[in-house]
Amino acid sequence: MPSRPQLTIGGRTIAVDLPHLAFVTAIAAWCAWFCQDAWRAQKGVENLILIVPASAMAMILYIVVAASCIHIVPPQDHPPAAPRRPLAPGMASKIIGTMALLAAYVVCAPLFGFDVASFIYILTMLLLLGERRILVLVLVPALFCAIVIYCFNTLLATPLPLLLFPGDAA
Amino acid sequence: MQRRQLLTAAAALAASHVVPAHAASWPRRPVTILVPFDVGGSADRLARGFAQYMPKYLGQPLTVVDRAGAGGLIGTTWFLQQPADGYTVMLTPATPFIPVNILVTHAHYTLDSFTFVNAQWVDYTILLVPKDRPWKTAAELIDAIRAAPGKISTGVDFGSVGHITTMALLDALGLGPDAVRIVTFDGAGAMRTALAGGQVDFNIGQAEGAAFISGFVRPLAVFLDHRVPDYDVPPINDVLKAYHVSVPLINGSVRTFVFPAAFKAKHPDDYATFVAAYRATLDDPAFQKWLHDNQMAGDWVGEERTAAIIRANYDGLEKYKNLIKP
Amino acid sequence: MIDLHALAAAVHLLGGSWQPWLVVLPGILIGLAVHAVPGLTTSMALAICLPLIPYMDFLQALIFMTAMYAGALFGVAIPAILLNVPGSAAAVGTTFDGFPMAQAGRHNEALGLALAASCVGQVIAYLLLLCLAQPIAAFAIRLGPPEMLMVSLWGITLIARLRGRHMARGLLAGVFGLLLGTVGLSVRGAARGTFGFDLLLDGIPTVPAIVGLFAAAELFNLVGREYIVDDRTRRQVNAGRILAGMRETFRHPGTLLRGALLGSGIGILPGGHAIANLLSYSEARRAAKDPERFGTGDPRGIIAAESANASSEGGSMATLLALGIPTGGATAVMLVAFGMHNITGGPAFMRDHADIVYAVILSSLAQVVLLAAAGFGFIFIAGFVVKVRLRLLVPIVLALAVIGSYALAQNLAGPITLAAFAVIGWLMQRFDYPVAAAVVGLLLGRLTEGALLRTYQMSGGDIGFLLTRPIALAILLLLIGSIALPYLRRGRPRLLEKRQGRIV
Repeated sequence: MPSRPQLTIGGRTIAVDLPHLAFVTAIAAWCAWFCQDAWRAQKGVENLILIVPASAMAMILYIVVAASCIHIVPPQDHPPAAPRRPLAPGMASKIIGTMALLAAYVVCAPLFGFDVASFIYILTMLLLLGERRILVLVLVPALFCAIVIYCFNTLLATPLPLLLFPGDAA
Repeated sequence: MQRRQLLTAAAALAASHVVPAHAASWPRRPVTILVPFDVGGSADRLARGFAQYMPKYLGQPLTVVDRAGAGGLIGTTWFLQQPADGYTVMLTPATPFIPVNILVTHAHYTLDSFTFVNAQWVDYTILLVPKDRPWKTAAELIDAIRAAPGKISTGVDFGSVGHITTMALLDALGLGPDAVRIVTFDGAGAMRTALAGGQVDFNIGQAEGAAFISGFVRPLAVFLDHRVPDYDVPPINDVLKAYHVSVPLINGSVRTFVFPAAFKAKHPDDYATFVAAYRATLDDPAFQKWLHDNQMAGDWVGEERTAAIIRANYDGLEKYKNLIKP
Repeated sequence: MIDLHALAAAVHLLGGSWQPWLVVLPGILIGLAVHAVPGLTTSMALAICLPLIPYMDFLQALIFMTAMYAGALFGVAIPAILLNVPGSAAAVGTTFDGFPMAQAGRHNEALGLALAASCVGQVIAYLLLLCLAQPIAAFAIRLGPPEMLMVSLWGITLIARLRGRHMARGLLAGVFGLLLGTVGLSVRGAARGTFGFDLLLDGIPTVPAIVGLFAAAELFNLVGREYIVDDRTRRQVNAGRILAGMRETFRHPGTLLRGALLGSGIGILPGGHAIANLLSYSEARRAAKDPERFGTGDPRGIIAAESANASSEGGSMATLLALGIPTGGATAVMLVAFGMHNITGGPAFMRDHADIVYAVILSSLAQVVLLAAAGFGFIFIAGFVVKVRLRLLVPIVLALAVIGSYALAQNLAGPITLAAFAVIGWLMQRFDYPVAAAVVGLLLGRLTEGALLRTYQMSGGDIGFLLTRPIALAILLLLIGSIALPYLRRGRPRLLEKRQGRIV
């Protein structure tokens, strides 16, 4: 899937770096939304003294960067070089997997207990990243949970919600 | 959570067969004191004092947990989410922070969500100016403000009793909020540093905090109905007589133990146990000495009077909230 | 200047008994250990330390706390260098050149550099404190919001320097960070950008955000690699090379001194401690004849950041000891020690307890030696991290970071921020936006807005007000001067040559 679709308008071919354009638009959209939210919360110099100039600056920069995502391809040119190093084969799924696991871990840990969630998280990550030695797959998460959770609960007096071990945590 | 409660219940059941009857009553495990402010603050230090002296009377250890954020809102919200079984008690300067949470920051609780045990340590507000400013009396300052509206600046800790009192004073004198330049700070400490450095012209704030910067400031009036030995300055309403106005005197920083209202309702005996242990701690001469050494108070005023103080503060804030709200 | 009488009393206090010294090593070790673990923060170290204080006398308590902070100041650099996870905002500057050095297999040298710079920074700061405590404090108290504003602006210019290859993207990242830094309750009580979440009222939690932006993004990228250091022969822990790194620090006396002095000055300002390392890095880069080398593993980057970070503590100590006014977390907690021993801070403190003040300063100077030794041992052990396969390291570091960010406030704000910023950070790296610029913006957002707001409030809207603030004007002129000087000196044609980056 080409990340730079090309359109032909008039006699010219235009290439659009879609992923980058989407990303920078998302950032600019947040900035605009934030400015608007702050405005609604309190319309006053005191509230907006930094936010408004910064948001305005963000908008200007957005236009500059967005414009750079759109290139006119001169005729008779070979397809222009890709804007970014392409990801190594197989990396994309690993990276998305890592992100998804992290999100799942963050959501589940307080619900199901940090001990169980951490164990499962580390185990699944190890598998995703290619670890196949059974000893490592079992020992590393177990040791981690034991040591870390002991330290946090006992030494640092910061209670973590746990499933399998007693605690005063909420 | 359920699983843990089952285990605890099972354990308690088992234990109650071998343990003498009186040990089966509340509290059966350590009690947590929740402080919705930062470690090192006055409420936190007071809580640690209790953790040192109260276990003797309560029969269980006490652990201090700090959860600061949003002017006490974060910690207080968490506190109300805990079971109302008395094992979590909050120690906080209930006013002005809880009324501010409710009236300004839109907390999801109301005054009725709580039982305020005892206004143990109450502060008052005081009017201070940096030493290098020319005004020697409160009247001089007031006249200066009237003579040059919009030129004199004051530092306020947003939402504090000092802030409310400043607005109330201006309002009573018939001066609009633009009569002074209001400089808002993120906390009393930052504000006091600015005052000490002469960055602002005057400040109405907590008297006990003023002790830190006493070398840099001059007090002009106290917001009480009597003189105090620490500062030889007139009560504010005496000064204001000359202007034919007066201001309401709102208490500052009322530190008290707090329980969710449901605890006293559902477990009145356990609540009474806590209060008895608390009073015994206050009566302990060693603890009183500790309080004195740390410049804290250990007064007993009782629950009713405490509720009245807090209610009065709430009403005061409600009246002036439009002057301080964004 | 120096009160010799009190100094003599202090020496007597310290030399007369071994008791005050008992607490130094534990303090340093606690500070080092807690902060060397990514995701753990100072409040956890305090949770360990505070219950011990009632058992100590006043001098011991102060020495214990300063020792803990001495360890903490260096401890945060360890994960910053080895994993690109700054232990706190104070170590962000160290990552810029520290991690590239680690990746190149020069982790031993990098850690040695950081340790030596940290020690020297502390020494210089405390020497200054010894001689100039009173004048520093008297000066410090005159610094107000306008001065803070100028220092913040100065920090913001760092964003422009960190712009990476594309100017507009770098600036956008920085502005984005600035706006993120202002999310939450304004000083006037207005909630901005919080979606109605109470947990965001205090703003986006900075440590999880920084860890997410830096670490997770980098770690995601490394998912395809085997080890932090590719070259197997370089993947060693070598005491000799650590020492070499330490010696290297002294080959850049200019950078070292500038960092230490700058850090001490900025540490005086409230909130200055967190940004001292960034400003020092920025200045070191500006002053260098070959600024392009910064960010690729230049020792001067580490030296500048670490020396400023270490010395900024001395600055805030000045205000505490001489004036009794706390300027931040560290000094606020020391006031707890004061309170627990029934001593008020305040100018009277310096007068009545000058011997204790000097004793603390002297012991802090002596602590540096212990720090160097303990730090060396720590680095040696920590260095083995590079031998661990990334596929083990990545999940462990991420899990630790999540647990740490939860334990911070006992709620989900930390972990969610971490995860969200991990994704944002990765996307930013993918599209060539400098993450460092966004981090600087995030750190400066609140500070700048507060300073700007208060300056505006103090002035009543009158710009002429600034003319009454000579110190602020002086800083502003210095700032403009430092930006303009390279252009004026080198002349236009060479300037165009130097501009290698593209605009967009």
